[in-house]
Amino acid sequence: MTKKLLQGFKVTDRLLGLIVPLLVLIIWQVTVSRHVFSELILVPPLTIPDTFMYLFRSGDLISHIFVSLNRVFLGFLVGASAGFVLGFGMGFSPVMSRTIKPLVKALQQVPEFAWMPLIILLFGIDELPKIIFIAIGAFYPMLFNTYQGVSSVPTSYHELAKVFDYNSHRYFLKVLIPSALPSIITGIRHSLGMAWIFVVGAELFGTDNGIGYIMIQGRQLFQIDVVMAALIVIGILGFTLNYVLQIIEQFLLRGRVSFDGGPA
Amino acid sequence: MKRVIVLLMIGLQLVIASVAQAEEKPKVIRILFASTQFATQHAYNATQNYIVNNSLLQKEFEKDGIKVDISYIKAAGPGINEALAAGLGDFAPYGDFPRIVSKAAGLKTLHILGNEKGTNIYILALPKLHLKSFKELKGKKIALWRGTANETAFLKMLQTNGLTEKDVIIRNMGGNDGLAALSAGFIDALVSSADRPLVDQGLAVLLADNRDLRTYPLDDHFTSDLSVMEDFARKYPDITKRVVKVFIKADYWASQEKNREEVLQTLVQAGYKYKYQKEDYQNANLKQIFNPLLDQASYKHFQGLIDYCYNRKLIRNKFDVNKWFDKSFSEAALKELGLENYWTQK
Repeated sequence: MTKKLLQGFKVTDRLLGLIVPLLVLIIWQVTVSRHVFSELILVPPLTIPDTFMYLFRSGDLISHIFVSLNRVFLGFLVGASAGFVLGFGMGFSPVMSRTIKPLVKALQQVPEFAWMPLIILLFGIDELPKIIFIAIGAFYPMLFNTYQGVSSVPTSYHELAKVFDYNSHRYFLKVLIPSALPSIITGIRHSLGMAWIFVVGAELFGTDNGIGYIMIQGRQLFQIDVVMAALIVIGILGFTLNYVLQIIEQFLLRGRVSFDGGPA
Repeated sequence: MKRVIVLLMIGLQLVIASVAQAEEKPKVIRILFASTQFATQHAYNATQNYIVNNSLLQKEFEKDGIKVDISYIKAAGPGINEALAAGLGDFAPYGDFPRIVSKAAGLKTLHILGNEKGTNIYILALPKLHLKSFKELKGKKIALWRGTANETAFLKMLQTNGLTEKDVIIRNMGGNDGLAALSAGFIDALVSSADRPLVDQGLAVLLADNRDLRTYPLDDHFTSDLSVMEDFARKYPDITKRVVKVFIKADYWASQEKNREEVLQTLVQAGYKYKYQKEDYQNANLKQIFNPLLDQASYKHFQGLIDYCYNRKLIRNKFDVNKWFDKSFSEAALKELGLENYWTQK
């Protein structure tokens, strides 16, 4: 039973995954000990737990995290919805795909941060521009994964649906959606991940709350340990978000087999 | 014979030590100035620009073969803190709040001289709001460059007017970002310097300032003072004193009433507007403003500011002003210049 549990948790993989972070910590501490950089710029890693306690006790960290998470989910909802609708349309309609795809591909070449000045000019510096910026980040992964899923439904499935004389409604529910679901769910995971990355960028300017703001404030108050602690929080939360979504993805897609008969 | 050899050895060691000490000079002295928002290659105050325009530091050290390297930091106090921590500067005159912040965080500096005391802040507001007083800022969005000396001066202004930080919505924006946000109407007000940008274009109005609070001691204003990296000062005390001497000469020039017009023109050259600077200094006692003394009033100002910042969690550690201030350089320099009694100790 224990063996099965350990296999289930893939203990070896988890332990292997800890090696690089540990190495990074060791290199960090050695760099600090040898005074390669000033301790005020590259703070000792052993001071970070105290900084976490300070931020937790002040109540600031939790409230700022909730503010950021709120923005992430709002931005994700907007961006992923738009990406899903457009991706679905492009995947389903070759004409729509040929019409819109070139523009989408061209816009994708513009770095997302380059949109920030225009967004601020058009929408100001309150919540709306931040949500829009995050939505832009969430948009593309959802768009392309949905497009990929919908446009990749095997031809044999179409033919089978014709044989069974499926109407549009049944075709969507019984063939298209189940076939495209793995890609769509992957798109959701990537989209939410990008939304988390973008929220930090959105909070670097003209705000007084959020995890990105903590980094800015830490820098301005010359509390670089706060900047490092915020960076670590961002990494851990992003990792956790992605991990939880992966588990949900595996659960939703459990028991599925791929077209070649193997597991999905 | 043995005795002679021992004495010779001791004598030789003393000679070597004194030669080593005499030769110990830096190759370069690095000064960091905070630049204005109008011109990145100008410092933000009159005395600093006077020093640069007349190459006073270069002239002081050229006979020693020491190069003087002047850098302008656009990111103001926070940027200077980072540059000092990264070992990119030896001296920096800048605002009281960022200097306290870095000292509290562990940056090993010494506060060795005053530079300009009692700097005002100005609150610019959107004309369409028709605000009549500072108190009407309650609930409004205000751009404030956090981490700079403007922050504590503004927070004190809130306090003086019966408001707290929670009564207003602060947007952390500085310099040109704040101006752009105000002109676009994204914020309601901006904490600014004397120059009041946008007012002439009709995009902002002057709502309030703390000029009438230009009192001594300096509780409601901010000061600009000279810091030196502690290691540099301990290693090169004579050089440090000579740098202090140059800054005192600049303060002496600016403090004289006969030079008032020249002080204003120096600021104009740095990109400031003449009419606003003239108004800013209109009722100012120049000798009181450009006062380098580390007197009781300075001690009280800084100790009060440290307590203020600690209570508002702007710093996490307190420190003793008496251990931070080092008057030895300024006292020696004032004596050399014959200015020991020029400024009044308060």
